[in-house]
Amino acid sequence: MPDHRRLLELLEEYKRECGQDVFLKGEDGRVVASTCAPAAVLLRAAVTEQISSKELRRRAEMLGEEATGNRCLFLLETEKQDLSGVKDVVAGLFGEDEKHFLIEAEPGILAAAPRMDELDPEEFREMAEGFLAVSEGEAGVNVRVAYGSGFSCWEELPDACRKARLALSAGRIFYRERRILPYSELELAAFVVQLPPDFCREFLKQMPPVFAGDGLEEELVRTAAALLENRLNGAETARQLYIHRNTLTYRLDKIKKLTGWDLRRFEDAAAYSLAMMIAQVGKEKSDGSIL
Amino acid sequence: MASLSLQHIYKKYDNGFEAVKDFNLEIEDKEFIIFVGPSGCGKSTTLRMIAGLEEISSGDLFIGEKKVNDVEPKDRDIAMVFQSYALYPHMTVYDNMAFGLKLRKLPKDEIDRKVHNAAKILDIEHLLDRKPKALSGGQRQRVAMGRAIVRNPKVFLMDEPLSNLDAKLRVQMRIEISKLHQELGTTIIYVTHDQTEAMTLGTRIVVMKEGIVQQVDTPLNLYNHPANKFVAGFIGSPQMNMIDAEIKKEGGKVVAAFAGNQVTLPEDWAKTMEQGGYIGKAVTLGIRPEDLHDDDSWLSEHPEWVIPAKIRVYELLGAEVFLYFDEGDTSFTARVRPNTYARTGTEMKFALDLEHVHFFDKETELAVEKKA
Repeated sequence: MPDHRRLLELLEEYKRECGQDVFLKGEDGRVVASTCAPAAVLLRAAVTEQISSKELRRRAEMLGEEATGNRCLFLLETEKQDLSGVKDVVAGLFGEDEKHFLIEAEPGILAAAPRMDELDPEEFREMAEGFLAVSEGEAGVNVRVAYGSGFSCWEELPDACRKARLALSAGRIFYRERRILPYSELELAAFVVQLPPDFCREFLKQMPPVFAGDGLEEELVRTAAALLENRLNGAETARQLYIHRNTLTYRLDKIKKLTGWDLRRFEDAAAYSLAMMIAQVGKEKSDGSIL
Repeated sequence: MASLSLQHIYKKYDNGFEAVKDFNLEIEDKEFIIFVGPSGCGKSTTLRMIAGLEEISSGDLFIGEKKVNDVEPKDRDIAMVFQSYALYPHMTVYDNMAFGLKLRKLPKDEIDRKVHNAAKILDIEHLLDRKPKALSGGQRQRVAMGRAIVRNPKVFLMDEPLSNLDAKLRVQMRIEISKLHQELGTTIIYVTHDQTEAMTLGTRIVVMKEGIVQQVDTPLNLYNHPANKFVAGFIGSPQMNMIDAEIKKEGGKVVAAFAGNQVTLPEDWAKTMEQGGYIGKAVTLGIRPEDLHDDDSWLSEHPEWVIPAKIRVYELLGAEVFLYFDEGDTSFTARVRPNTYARTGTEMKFALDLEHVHFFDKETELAVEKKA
């Protein structure tokens, strides 16, 4: 029997010299030894490069990795640059033969693509909560977990990555308190996050002047946010903010005076929501890109 | 021993927002402390600082005698049960509960003993081979607690663990948590926005608003002696009636006038208002729904406390009735017996029990302390 350990040592040496992962394929095209599991290489390529579906499929074929099974891509973002503690703990949720579907994508971000029984949003949510539980409860690390769509073949992975990244970016700007960020719930925010800075600036010029300046005062912003969160239900909003209905009316009237928008009307609430998002994105991008 | 001491704790974010301001609290071993308040009041942030998931901007946190500001969460000997903590979906109940212990590389037989002990306490031994999908909401919540119990921590931290459950299940699980506290004898710090949960579970309650502690007290004291208008309105369901009133002196008597009505204050309150300089001033009069009485004995014995009412809404709850009416700009809620003759549209009278009234300063919103 060939000395597999010696073979790997040679491959690692070769990797050090050429600076890339190395794969040894047999005559049948199957990878017999490698410095990195092929699935991890493909996952890293999808997450860190702007790789197309076609190119990813080509690489998968080259590495002999055909099927992925049903999976979902999760991005776990932490404040810590050193992910070793979190990664070890999260890896506990993966079986031994699945551990290469968990990689350090970049400083502070783990990418995980666990196998799912079905491509079911409920299941994705439960998995995200499981990641949250293990990261905070066991590793003691604050995380945000973003995810997009599931995938069942390598060609679908780049799109799943794109959505997960957009969900993460939207979370950083608009939903700082949320720990779980499903793309399906954040599509508008994810769209706004992609708008070019020039467009944001031009858009804001058309908006009420208050958005170009310091914006609305904190209390009014919180009130508007609560109203939108409660689907324009005034009674619920007043209850959540712990204010009288009359106080809520007063604040909404004040917002109307400053912006021209009556947030009790759906169209105005939608315009306000969009303007606030674009103003926020414009501000973030002028401070430095967050994508 | 698992006492905690939070001394001048602040949490300030990079954008300047102060989520928690000068939080001070001494928690004794085995206490069941509740942090309660509306959304955004800083209660979860405070809990997360205790857990070590949020950095403390300034101030000191002690667990026992040890200052733990810079101690890693996993070394603080705490266990968390948070609202958003689902179970690990691909693992059995046993593996879910054993997971943390396996990470800590405990011996197999010790893990087995701890898991079975916790499962017995929670009455879920028969579920150990099942996966989370096969469990009900209440069972899942028990497994989540079991995951924490096996760690045998000094302190349990629970952040709205019941808020994902339906109302009936919440009531059941509240009882379970209360029993668990007595059985385990461990310190518990519990966060909720639900004041009913707070009142039924806690040995002491910390009421918070906008990052600031409003009052720390036992449930009964919070209910009977709220420190300010916010606490008075937050604790108690239905909410306390808050009435804008003016204190006057007429014919040698001190009265509270509101919405065209006038009620004579009892002697101790009259003295308090005079000595406090409230004559001729506006105050907020607070009276709980159960302190409005519609029965004849009250109306005849205390005519000086009576106001008229036309019932706007009648709600029968079974063991009691809520009656809603307006006087001027003020909406009132009264809680009366189910055999009341009142219905929607009835014109009737209520006697306010001014022995149990509360007054709040209009400017500071602090409770006016009654002079003996």
